[in-house]
Amino acid sequence: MILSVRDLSIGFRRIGGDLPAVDKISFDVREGETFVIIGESGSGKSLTGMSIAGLQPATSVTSGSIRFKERELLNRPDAELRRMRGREIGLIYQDPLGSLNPVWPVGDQIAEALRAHGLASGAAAARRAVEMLDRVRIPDPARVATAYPHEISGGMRQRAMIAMALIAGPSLLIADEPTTALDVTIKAQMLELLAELQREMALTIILITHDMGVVAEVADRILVMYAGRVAEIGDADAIMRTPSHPYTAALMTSAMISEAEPKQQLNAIVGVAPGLGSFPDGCHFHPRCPLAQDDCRSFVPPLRRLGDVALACHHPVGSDTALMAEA
Amino acid sequence: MVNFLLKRFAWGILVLLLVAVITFFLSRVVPADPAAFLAGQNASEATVQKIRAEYGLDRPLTEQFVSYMVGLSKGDLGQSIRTRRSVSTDLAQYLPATLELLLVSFTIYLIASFSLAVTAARHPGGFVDGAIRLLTMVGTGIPVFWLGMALQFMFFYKLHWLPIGARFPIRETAPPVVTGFLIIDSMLAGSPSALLGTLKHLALPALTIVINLLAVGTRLSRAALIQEQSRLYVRTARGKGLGPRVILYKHVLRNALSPILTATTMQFGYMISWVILVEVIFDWPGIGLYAYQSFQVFDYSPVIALAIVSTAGFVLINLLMDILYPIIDPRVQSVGS
Amino acid sequence: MSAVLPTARPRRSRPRGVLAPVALLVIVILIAFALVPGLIAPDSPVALNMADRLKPPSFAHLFGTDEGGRDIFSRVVFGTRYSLGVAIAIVFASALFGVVYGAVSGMARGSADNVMMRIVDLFFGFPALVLALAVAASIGRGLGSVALSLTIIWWPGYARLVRGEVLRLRERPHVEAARALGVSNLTILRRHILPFVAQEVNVRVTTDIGYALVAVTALSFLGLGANSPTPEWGLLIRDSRPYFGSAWWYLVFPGTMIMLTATAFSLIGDSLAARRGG
Repeated sequence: MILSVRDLSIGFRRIGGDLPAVDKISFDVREGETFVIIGESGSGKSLTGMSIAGLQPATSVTSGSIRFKERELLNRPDAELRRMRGREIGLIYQDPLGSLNPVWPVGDQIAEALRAHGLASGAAAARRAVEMLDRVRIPDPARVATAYPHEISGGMRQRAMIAMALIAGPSLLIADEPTTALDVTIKAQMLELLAELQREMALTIILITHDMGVVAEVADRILVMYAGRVAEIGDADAIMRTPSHPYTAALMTSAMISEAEPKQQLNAIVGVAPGLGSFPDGCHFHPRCPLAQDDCRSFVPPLRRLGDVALACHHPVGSDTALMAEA
Repeated sequence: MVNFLLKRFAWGILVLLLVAVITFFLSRVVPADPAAFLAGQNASEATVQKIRAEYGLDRPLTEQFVSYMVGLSKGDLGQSIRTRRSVSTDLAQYLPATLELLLVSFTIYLIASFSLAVTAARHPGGFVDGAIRLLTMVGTGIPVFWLGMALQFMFFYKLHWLPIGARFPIRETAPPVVTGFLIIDSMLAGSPSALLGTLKHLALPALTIVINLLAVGTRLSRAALIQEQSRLYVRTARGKGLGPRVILYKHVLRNALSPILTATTMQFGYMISWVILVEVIFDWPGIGLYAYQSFQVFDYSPVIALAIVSTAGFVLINLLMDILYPIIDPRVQSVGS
Repeated sequence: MSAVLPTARPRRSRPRGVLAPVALLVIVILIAFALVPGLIAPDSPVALNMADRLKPPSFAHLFGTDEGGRDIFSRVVFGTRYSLGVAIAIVFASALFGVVYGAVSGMARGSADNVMMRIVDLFFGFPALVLALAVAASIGRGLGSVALSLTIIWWPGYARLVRGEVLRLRERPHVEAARALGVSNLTILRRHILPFVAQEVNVRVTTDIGYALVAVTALSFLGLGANSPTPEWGLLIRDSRPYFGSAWWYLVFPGTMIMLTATAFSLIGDSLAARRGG
């Protein structure tokens, strides 16, 4: 177990009570696997990912436990976490253009990750940055190293971000929606690249996404998040084959529809995900759930095992065949 | 890029020409008669006529204008009736005083505003941050002339620390003029007492300008810094393990520099325009005071000259900024060319 | 982006909430000064009384007296209508001209807009104080010439602001819809654009009154504005120059009035901007 998260809660301080954004979630990530956290915006998935590296917003309050390689990370002083970021945990983000500093050359920003940890300096760091650009399959890496972020393409920028995240040799990579801003072909290349690098560098990857298509391609295990809670967690194949949580099922249906008709922005889930501070009572999903019953409105479903997966639902899909046919 | 700069340069020349034309006509549609003023109250009509002819004031306006513009193209800014010298000669004497005051003030301002803004941005809501907000709130409403007089009251009348005005102690001999900048000249003359005298005289006018600029400028720098701190690249920088210091100085500051530079340019233009007030209050023998004293006796060539010189200063600063922007922000280059 | 950075809206700092009503009170008092100075000021602003010359503040003379024995408080009260009045006139005239100019420029677009904005740029490069000197030289000294020269350098700011707003608002769906329906440019401007522009302009006008006041008093201080014995604030400070070393009150009170007034208007401008949601 490389990472163990227990009862992690993240909230935002407000006058008149904190706003909960992530509510007591627990999960484990195994060494070398690709662990996917999936959910809509506002589900708390990115916040969860960022908090592992201690990059949650300064206005938030956290509780619970995040253990990485047997060390507790949560609520450590920033100076301690800093030594770990880049060195042991690498991060890539959704918007590579905004995430790169516009006024420094790409190579310099990559080399900076080495210099920050005293792993190399000056020309040696610059040389290793070019090598790293080559490893992320960038053609003409020496030229790209001297280019500014606005001078290279979106796909190249994300590759440069990956180079930056991995150059100091971390064992865990947290990728927050790394393919969202990219078009379909580049997206596929990027996932392929991540998979290759994972093999070459023995990486554990936590991939955060809202895209079921991405999940199907790379996931070993999945955590489905809804409105700050775990909906379903477990083996990717098992969940993809027979989703038990109505929310997972709905996500998969909408993924299938959008794959069949990519132009159509059809959503199989009625309504919108609740925003911060407006989470309903009981099961957070009940207002949009086709299978919701009275108990869903008042009682929070506990997480329980069901074969290869664990899920938090009073009335999982398949427990009532009639309803399943309907769904 | 060169093309762009040439365009900006041509634009600057156009602005200068227009300023010359407008101030010329404004100053010639005058009810008062400078010649009569110069001749004195008891002068005969013949004397006044003679003076008019001497300065070309008896010729038709268009003729005066043409000869003025022709002169201007040769760098001739006309004659001053008051000093009975060519305006160019006068400017050569008075300009260094103004430049010295402006440069010293602006340098101090840049350093002070920069350090204040950085401190405020590092601890938002802290003491310095609050002080800047207070200064900004009250400071923008302080008239610069009143501030100057308040400083005179405190440091001259009450504390007797600093002189009330002028550029150099009256009773002492100034160092020989080499550059016209007294700080440099007194250093060249190897005279510490001359340097001290110079600095003492410089202190109050410079302080007046610095406080006035800080009131407006620091707020802008602080806002630019705080805005840059919320950008995504800051999270990236943290994500690779950089410390807050490196993030602030290497990443945030560099990005905040162009908005700060824009604000600074505006400030400099503003300052050029209002330096007259400071020179009048502190009896500072620069071009502002020179033009103002000439204006009082209806001698307008120096006023037009001041208009042209200060506009030229403003145009130059803008041009300099146009050159600096692409260096500071690589994205500008591709837009400019 | 999903839930990484919640929109943490910074709360308005406390002091402003308290200061805005105070600023409003200051402005109400100033308006009273300007409208009925005779009811508030205890003495004449001009009549000399050599027996009382340069007396420090007392109950009889709240702000002390000047070199002519005149009550400085009375002079300040009577001066409000000159200093503040001219400042308000400058800002209103600039706003009026600038709004028309900016609206025409923004609606015209294309090359006409281009030329009109180039002209505005020209004015921005103009040295304000020197222009004021030149204007005062040609039409003579006085508050009229101060008002004229400051209006000349003030209006371009409004033209630029309004033109920008017009260009932005033109792209709004409801304006585009109106245009598609064949509504005339003038009607679009009047019904769909100007009401929104007005909000921006109101904020700017309020804040600018303070700045204009500082500029007006500066020109008066240089002797370009009112002539003695008009109790204009900048002129009071000019008049105090030979005496303020021994008579601090002569300098302090008129200056404080300028500062207080300018700050009050900029605070009100701030809170207008905040209410508008800016």
